[in-house]
Amino acid sequence: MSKVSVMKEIKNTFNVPEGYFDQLQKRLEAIPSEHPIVQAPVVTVPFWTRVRPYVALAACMLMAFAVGNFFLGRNHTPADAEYAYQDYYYMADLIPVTNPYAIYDDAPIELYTPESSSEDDVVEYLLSSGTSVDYIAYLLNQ
Amino acid sequence: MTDKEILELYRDGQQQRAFNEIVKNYSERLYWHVRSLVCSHEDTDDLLQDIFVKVWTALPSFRGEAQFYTWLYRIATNVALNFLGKQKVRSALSFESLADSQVKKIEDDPWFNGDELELQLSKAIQKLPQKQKAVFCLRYYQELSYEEISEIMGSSVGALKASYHFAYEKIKKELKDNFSE
Repeated sequence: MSKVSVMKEIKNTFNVPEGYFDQLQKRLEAIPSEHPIVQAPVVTVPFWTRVRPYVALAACMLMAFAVGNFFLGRNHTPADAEYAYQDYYYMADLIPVTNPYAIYDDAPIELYTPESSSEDDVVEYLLSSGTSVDYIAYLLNQ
Repeated sequence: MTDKEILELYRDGQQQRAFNEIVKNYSERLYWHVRSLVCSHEDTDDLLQDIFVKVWTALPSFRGEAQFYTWLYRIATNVALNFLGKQKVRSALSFESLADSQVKKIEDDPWFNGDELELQLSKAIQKLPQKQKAVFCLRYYQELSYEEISEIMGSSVGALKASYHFAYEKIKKELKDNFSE
């Protein structure tokens, strides 16, 4: 006795009408003729039809980028430029420098460098500071 | 004829013969499986027709990823569970639980031939949640392994073991309550 029939004998508490399974089998075997499988026709999609959605998507993105760029670039007002100028000076203040004019103005840095002193100026300075004439003569001869 | 031979027959172009072999091999097994889930002979008869129509139309797409008989059981289980789902909605509309209507079906079933204990067992099974019922029936009546049930239900073996355990405990309690009254 097969495993299935033993199992049914022990566990199956339901019954079926006499000869039911033979009749069921015949009924089920008629299914293929009642439900013929219709093969879906093979359709070849042209290359352009396949890529068209992707091209359209790319074109939309490009358009959005161009429009966004146009409006964002156009919206610079004189006030924006003024803010940018102030920001520049604010940043310049934060940077420790010995010669801030070099940052604030566009003039060449040499203009702000003190002129070199002449020999007469040095002598005059030494005399006024109380240095002896002998020592000044000694320094000048070196 | 084995499943492999049936599928080879189908691929060789003899679809009708292959289908007849499937019917011959599985119609009775699937009948008992569906009957254990839905109880009524008439409902099972209708569902079996639907199941084999689905098998026939889905056969060209069977690629052999699962074993053939677990694929058949999967279709049968899904069809039966869908049917029970619809029954549940209908029962809710008539203010009756699905379990009660299923129990009534067993009591009124002229094709039930079990004794009192078996009647109580069938009633207890009908009171289980749908997934637990399916797992319990596949394991208890069809004696499939957890691995096979896993392929049919698409759940992990651990989850199925837990489902079976819960179902078993509920049935045990139900039977205890009924027989201690």
